[in-house]
Amino acid sequence: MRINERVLAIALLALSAFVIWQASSFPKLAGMTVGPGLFPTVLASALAIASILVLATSWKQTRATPLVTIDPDVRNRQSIIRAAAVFASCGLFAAFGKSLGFVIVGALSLGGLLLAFGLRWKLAAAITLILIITVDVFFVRVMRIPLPLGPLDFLGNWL
Amino acid sequence: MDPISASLAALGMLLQPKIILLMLVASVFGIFVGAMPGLTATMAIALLVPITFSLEPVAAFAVIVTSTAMAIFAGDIPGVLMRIPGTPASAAYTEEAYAMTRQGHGAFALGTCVTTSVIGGLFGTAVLMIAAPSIANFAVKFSSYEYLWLGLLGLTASIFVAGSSLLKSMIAMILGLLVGCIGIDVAVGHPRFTFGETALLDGVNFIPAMIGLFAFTEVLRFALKPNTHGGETHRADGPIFKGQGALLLKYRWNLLRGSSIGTFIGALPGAGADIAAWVTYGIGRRFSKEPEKFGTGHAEGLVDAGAANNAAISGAWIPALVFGIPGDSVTAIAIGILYMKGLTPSPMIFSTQAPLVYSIFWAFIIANLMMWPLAWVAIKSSGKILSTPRNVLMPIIFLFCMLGSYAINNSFFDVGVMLVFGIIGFVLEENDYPVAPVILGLVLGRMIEEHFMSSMMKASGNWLAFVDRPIAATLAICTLGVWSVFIWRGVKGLARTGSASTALSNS
Repeated sequence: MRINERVLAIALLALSAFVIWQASSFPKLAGMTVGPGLFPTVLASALAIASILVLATSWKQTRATPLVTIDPDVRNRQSIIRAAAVFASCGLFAAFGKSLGFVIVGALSLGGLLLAFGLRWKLAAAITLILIITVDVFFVRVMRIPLPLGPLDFLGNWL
Repeated sequence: MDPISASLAALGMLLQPKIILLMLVASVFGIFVGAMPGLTATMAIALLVPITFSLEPVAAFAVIVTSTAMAIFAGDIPGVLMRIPGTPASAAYTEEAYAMTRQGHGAFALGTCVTTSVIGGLFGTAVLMIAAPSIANFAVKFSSYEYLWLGLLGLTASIFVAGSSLLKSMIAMILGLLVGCIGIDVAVGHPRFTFGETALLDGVNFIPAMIGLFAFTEVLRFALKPNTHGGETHRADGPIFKGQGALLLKYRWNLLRGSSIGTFIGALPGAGADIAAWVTYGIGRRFSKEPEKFGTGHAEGLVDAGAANNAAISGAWIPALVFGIPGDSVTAIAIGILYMKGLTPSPMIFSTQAPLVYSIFWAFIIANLMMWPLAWVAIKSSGKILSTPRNVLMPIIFLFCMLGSYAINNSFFDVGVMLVFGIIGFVLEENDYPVAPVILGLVLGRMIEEHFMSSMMKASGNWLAFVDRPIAATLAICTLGVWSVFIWRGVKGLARTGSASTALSNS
């Protein structure tokens, strides 16, 4: 997925402007001209100059280039499903990991991904079951890293 | 503690059955990850970080060192047998090695890769053991000015060696530095760019960011293009080590040259084993008596680069331990782990934590010696390793990415950080922006800002104070010299673009 150089450069330029604007509101050290805004301002200024240079070098060359170019190899249903499953699995883990607990969310994330990656459901279920239990025991018992249990809290003594 | 006592104490700490067992497990893990095309040594280490939590510092670093050394060697296995480098560090000589395989010398090529890796790794370790304490003794005199210039020089070097467009490398590095600004600032404790999110007050957690940039991107890339790493797998039949002695004796100078240049490149911030291998392969061909044979399955082509990539991983620890400036992506993670364990990389670490530092040196020696027998087993079972279905492996790796990101702080917010950085890394790489400078910027940002602010306050508006001390002045000349080259090349590039555009519009 290639984004037009000009579009990326303009986005980076906008980012530098935003950083400089935000940094201008940071307080200064008492009696000094420097403060928390100085370093981000220096960096954002350098980013702005670099973005302008990218813009200048790519302006003529990329005028005919589309805004986004997607590789023909990934323009198929399977690729889109697999990529969507990766995002969905991560979103599910981040959003519901605490409330539903690792065992449920981990199993849904891993099982869903394995199915999306083309495994038959029986194999996917077997791998998911073995791996989730192994990982849970390893993290909690061996490494002493607590993993949330969610509604399975009542199994705390076994897991 | 004197160096000999510290060294012996470190060896005693390392030669515990538990640590040796951990190193063996780490070796198997490193070999597996390194041998799987698409999985890098950096990814292996990023996934190991949560495991290192429960370990003592000595065991944690022994695991990291062993996995890295094994992964870099194991990257040669699919390169030789499938013509697909397992890690980027093997890419430089994959064609050469595969050509040997097609001639029926696959096992011999792998034997050369193992032997040169072991010798290169031991050479790099020897340099690390001698150079790091000497540089540390010298660096004790450094003030904030020297550290500031050194940090800037490190960042500048990383842009030059990133192997991409200078401008794009610089942008990637500034993005990393800007991300490093998120959180409470070092001067007055003011929250910056947190947007009211308390989880960001301590800054963006570096490990989830790293997992996102290096592991999530690979999983996403596989999801989009699963057939990228297909291909025919040859078998490594025949003796592996027979005839290696004669070969290495014949090419002893190549071995020495590859190891030395590899260690030096490894010590440069941002330049790791992959760049070391490319540079030394090129040098090997340039100075060979038979340059026409390169690319046709000529064993000499494996010697320089095979030694260089393993030498580079030890070299990378020199600036990491002495200055907290990572030599490559793996040492960037190692610095993060040092901080997590309450240790600060600095010249003082050689006196305050001498046994730990020496245990890292010993871990390199033991890992490299373990490589010979383990590599033999790995080569003999390469068929099984390479046939692991990636559509099973990638979802499992992804589960560990999420779990590893969570486990750093027991925070699901960090899983989101991993996701965001994964997307950023994917977009950057797809558009030819390298991601290694992002990590370097993120790791060095806080250190550079701290020294920048303290230098600004000490100087009180007198800019000459920044170059008042001899070492600071020398480092400043080097840094400004490299910047001048950068600007000159930029102006030349712009002029070329301008004339090309004029030619286009005239035609």
